[in-house]
Amino acid sequence: MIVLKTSDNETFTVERDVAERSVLIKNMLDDIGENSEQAIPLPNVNSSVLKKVLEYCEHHRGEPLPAADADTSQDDTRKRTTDISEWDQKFITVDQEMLFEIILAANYLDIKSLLDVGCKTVANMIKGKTPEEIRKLFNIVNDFTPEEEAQIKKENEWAEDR
Amino acid sequence: MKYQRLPSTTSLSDEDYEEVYSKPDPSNITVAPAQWSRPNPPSTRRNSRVSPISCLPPEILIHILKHIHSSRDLVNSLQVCHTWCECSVELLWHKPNLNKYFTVEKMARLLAVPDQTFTYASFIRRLNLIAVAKDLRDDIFCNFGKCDRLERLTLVNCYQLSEAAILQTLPCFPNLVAVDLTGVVNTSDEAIIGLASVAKRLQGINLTGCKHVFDKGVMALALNCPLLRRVKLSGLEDLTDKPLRVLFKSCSLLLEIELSNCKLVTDIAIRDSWAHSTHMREMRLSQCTELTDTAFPAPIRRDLKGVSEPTVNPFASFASESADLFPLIINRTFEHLRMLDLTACSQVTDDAIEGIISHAPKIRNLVLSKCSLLTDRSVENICKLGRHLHYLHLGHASKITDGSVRTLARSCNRLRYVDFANCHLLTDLAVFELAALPKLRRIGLVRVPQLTDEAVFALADRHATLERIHLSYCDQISVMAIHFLLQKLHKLTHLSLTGVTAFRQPELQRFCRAAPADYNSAQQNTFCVFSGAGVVQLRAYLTETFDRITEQNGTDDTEYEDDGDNEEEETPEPEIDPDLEEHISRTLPSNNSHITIQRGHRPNWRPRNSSEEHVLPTFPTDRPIPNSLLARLNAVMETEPLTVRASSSSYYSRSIVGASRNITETLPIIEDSHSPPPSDVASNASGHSNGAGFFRSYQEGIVHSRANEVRTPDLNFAEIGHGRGAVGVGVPPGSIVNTTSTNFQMRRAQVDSHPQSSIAWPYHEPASPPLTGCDAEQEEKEQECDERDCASKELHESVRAALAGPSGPVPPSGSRGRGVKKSLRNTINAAEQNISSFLFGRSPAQTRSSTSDEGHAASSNTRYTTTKGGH
Repeated sequence: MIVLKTSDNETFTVERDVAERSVLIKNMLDDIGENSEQAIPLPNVNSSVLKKVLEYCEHHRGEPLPAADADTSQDDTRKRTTDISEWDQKFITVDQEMLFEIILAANYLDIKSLLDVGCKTVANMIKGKTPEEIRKLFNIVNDFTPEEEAQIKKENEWAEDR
Repeated sequence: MKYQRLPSTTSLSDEDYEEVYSKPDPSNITVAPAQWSRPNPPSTRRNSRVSPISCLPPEILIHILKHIHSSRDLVNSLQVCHTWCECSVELLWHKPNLNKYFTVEKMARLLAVPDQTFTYASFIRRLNLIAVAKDLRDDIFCNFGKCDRLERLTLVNCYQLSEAAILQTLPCFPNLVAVDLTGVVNTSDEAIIGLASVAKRLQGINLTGCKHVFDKGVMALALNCPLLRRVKLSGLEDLTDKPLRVLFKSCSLLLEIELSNCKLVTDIAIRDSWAHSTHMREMRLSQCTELTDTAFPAPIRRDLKGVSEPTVNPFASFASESADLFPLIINRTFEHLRMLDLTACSQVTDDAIEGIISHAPKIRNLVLSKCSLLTDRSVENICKLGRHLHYLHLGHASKITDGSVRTLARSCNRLRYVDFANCHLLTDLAVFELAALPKLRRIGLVRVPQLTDEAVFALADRHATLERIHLSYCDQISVMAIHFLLQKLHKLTHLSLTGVTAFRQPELQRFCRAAPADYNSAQQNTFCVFSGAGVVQLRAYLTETFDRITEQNGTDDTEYEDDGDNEEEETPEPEIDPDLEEHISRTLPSNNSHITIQRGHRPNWRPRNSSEEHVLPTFPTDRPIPNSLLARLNAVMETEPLTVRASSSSYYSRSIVGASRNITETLPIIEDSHSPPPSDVASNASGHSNGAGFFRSYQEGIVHSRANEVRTPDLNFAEIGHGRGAVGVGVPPGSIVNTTSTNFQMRRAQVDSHPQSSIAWPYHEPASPPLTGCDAEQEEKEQECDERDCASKELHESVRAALAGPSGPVPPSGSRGRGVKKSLRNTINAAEQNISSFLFGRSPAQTRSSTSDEGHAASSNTRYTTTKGGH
């Protein structure tokens, strides 16, 4: 069993194979060796997020981890599918704040599949929306001047041809 | 000039470059926000308080945006705010989707504008202009010279580009990894030299059809681009050995070489490829007509094991001077070689194939078409490839026989694609073997003239995988067999039947693809290729037609279905005893083919719906088969239940073959056995658009003329022998044989006593397609040979004629059972009548109407034969 300690000083005790879905934790465990009683500090993750992340790791325990070098060469075009499994979809149905926290945690903990689920979810939210709708959805302020906006629109309008 | 892009050959713009030896490609993934080309925009910090998404660092935002595929969504994203713009702009430009000319034009104009928000040109890494090839001109193209970080460029068929534009632009791409210049005809040596001098990382180049590239250009590539892995030089007709030898020596990573139509290339260059290119995966050397056996490694012989140089051929370096090359001895294998194309390397013999296969044991695609010296020995060597072989083309290897094909089909059981076009020694037996290949998806049997319907049945029966079948010029094939094939093969997308006489009819040809424009009119007429929707339409049409026929005829299939003996015969996968097999191959195709046929027909033998029967006489216009034609067809079909019953009462299976063949063969004949009502004539004249016409191979005009005639059964009999359906000639059409058990016995005795006689079985028809005249003579002889045969044929005809009477007009309106009984009774009566007429010496040659035939006639060969045969 592994003990994890969050930024808000909560501890979670989990089985090793669940914790090792995180490449970060796996590498740390490899470094400090077996049978360490020490809690692993995760200063970038708070308890509510870690709880959620561990739920994901629990569900996906035992699945093969992606090869370490696979992501750099392949993730560009080949794996750009946006389908998400049913369980994952339910799992990731959370408010925006939690969604981005999970993405950040997945990135920090190096859980590639979770990062992808999160990013795909956000991508799906963006699809089919106008710039204004996207701004509204994510509460983003338009910081372009009207001239900038017009020029960028013009320079990239070839991409809207269909 | 246009070049076809083959997916596997011109994969230069595909992803698979970073495979084996690639270094990490830093430019591949956008990980940092794009740089603005002006002083920085106002800070975006102010977003952070209100927007949760602003907590994501840019690299995660980029990761998110990478999941967006549509460029329209990306354009919308980059208009959201500065941060989003930085993160999405490069994704949008990385591999622009340029499908329309005005898009390309717009982009090119933009690249020329001086004051841009970003330096867009350097965002472009991949450029594919194939979609606008025919419109692309210098002024537009040259703007893309600014794309200094371009890695992949596809200009396939951009034939309008001038030599100057190409020369000016290609050297602007120092980061180029792959370039496809297929059909960019103005590409010059200088342009290639310019490219080679800057693009040191070049891994793939396709110069197919660049006729102005010569030795100097290829030499520059060989000397400057050591990472080259895929080099395609097909159609560089002036290319000689010299630059190729340097290429093979200095580019040790070569995986693919394509030299099709490089006619000056000789053994010397190709020997170097074996000596140096240890990773070679694909070699396409088609039409390199100079190549001989010495271009390829000599067979590994145990007694030559002592040769000590393992990697380099000791003779390669000086062999160029000598006219007679030593055998190429290489003591290592080429495990990576998957594809070898030696099409039309006609000097290549069995020795070369043996040597190649002993060195390259994992070849997947082997193309040896038009290597006409090859014999069974090559096929036996090919068998050593076993399960590795997926694709084999042996067209025009005309010495190949059934025996080696059999071994092949049993050793290389993962074959998906085979072609034996023009292998005229092959027979149905070879097809039976090939049909057993579990993964077969495409089979080419063009001009294998000995093939009969049995081959088609074999293909139909064994395969749910078959998608493409080529049977052009296999002239013995009937419409019925193809109908059956279509019923079975639902994945079929392509069926070529060019030159098959049975299909030279407008109502079938209307489903064909249009003939290529450059065909002459004779070729246009014979062209008959069904593909895609055409196959579906043909299937639907044949199904409908056959259904209509069977619905209308007086068949009662109750007995048929209930027949237990019959079911027993249907063993799904009959194992043929090897000892028996040879005998069977001479006498009948295979035990199970008859079962197939039978099964195939069953769907058509639906229980007759008595209400439909009522409809028959007033057959409305939307079902355009003329009633009388239907009636005649019905008459034929009606004999079928009898047939089946007879055959099932005796297990002697061949009768069923005969029976089912009978349908095919007799359908056209019946058509003329009595005079049609006027409405029929009209409908025939009005375009001959119904289903009946294609049962016969006669020209439309003839049908018209004959439709008015009264014909005797005897004349029809004559046609059996001399029409297109000559396949079945030898066989006394099955249903006669089976109409009465005595006849059946007779036939059986006959078969037993002459098991090898060509009369007994159709599979020994002369190899040439029935070219009516001589066939007619031959048939006559054959008929003389066996009088019993004639007798039964005549009887058969008579029975049919008699049957046609009652079933043609309105069937009895009583219950189905009574109708059947009546028709059976009629049959028996008819049989009796005709036996008596036979006994009283009506000669088979007696053809009252033949003269009138000649009167109407039609100058067609078929017609002529018919008449001739009648006498």
